[in-house]
This record gives sequence, structure tokens and C-alpha cells, in this order.
Amino acid sequence: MEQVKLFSQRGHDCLLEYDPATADMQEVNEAIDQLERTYGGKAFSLESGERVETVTPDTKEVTIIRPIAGG
Amino acid sequence: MAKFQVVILRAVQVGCVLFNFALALIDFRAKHYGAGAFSLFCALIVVAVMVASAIANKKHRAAIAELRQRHAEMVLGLEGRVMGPEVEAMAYENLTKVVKAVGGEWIDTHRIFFNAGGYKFRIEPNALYRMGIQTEGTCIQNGGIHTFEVMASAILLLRHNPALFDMWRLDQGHPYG
Repeated sequence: MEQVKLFSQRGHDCLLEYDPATADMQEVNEAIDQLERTYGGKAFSLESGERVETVTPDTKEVTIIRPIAGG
Repeated sequence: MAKFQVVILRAVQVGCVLFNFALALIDFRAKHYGAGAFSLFCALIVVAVMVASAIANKKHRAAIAELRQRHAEMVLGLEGRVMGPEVEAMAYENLTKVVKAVGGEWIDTHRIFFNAGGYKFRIEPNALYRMGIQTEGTCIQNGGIHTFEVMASAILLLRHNPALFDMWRLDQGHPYG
């Protein structure tokens, strides 16, 4: 099972869980788009270090990264 | 001091030294020993100023580095007490994954070099530096998540959009991603 995570005070929260072998990837991508809008972040893969525009069954460690501020 | 100002200052200093050495040589060859000695003295004064300045800058950089180290340890110690060791371990694992993914280089347990947008960056708890002749830095923050995950977020966001560094540096307190 793959998880879509969000960094939080608890280390990270699991926002979404799906089985890459059987899940409808269009639905998964729509859900991640909604999560990005909800949390104001962008989906990245912690495995590749790259921005994830479209999740595929091979995409691992998807995490919603929220903006940070300087100071 | 801006990068180009440093380069110009160095060029002027080196120019002064060479000019005075050249003058001294000409005077000695013309047997004007007094004038030659004076020119040589001027050249040596400029050299001494350059050496003293370099030594002072080195000490200053070492003192700043030590302060940063102490600050980073203080931040980590505080967050460890507030968020707990399990959260810290989870956050550190996430940071480790990101550093491995982007090909970053660990300087020590909580400082990392990485590349983004053609620049080399150094990141440590709550601080990010763009390396160069004139190193520029900014604090980084995201209330509510562990410092290690702020670092992981900064690395990922900066690799995706290197222009964020100047946004964080120039518009402090406003989140950008």
C-alpha cells in the first residue's frame, strides 16, 4: 500500500492510502489534487526528490509539501 | 559588502601593491634610494593591511560558524523536548530520504550541502545559505512541523523552484512554495 503523507507535529500524517496495483490512478490523482488545494501545498516524491504532477503506480513516497517562510 | 565591491577592493589593493613595487624598483635603479624605500614601505603597508584583513575575516567567519552551530543545537534540543524523540526520529528519517534523493552531502548530523538552480546551498536547522564569493543566508520556518521536516521541505521546494531562495530572503515571514 502506498500512502500520501503530510509533514505535521506528529512527524507526518497519512492523508490517503491506496494500492498501486488496483487503485484507479485517475481517482488517486484527483484526490491528491484536492489535497494540494486543501493544504496549499505541492506533491513531491521523497524517493525521487521531484515534484509529482501525475501519480503513477510506480510513484513512491508521495508527500504534500507546504510552503515555508523566510525570517 | 556586495560581491562586486569585494572584487573591486581586492583589485585596487593588489594594484596599489604592484604600483608601489614598480615605483620602488624604478627609484632603486635610478639610485633614488630614499624615494625607493618610501615606495617599498607603502607597498608593504598595503600588504600588511590585506593580511590583517584576511586574518580578521577568517576569525569572524569561524565565530559566526560556532554561533550557528550552538543555535542549531539549541533549536534541536528544544524541539526534541517539545515534540518528543519519536517525532524527531520520524522527521529525521524523512530528511534522510530527501537528502539521498537529491544527492545531497552530509556535513555532519544536521547540516547538508545540496545543489539547486546552479548554486550550492548549505542547510541547517532554521537556516539556509546560498554559497558563493558572497554567501547569502536566510532563516527558514514553518510553524508546527519539526525543523528536520522544514529542512526537507526547503530542499524539495528549492530544487523545484530556485527563485524561492530570494523570496524567502527578501520577503521574510511570508510563506512561499
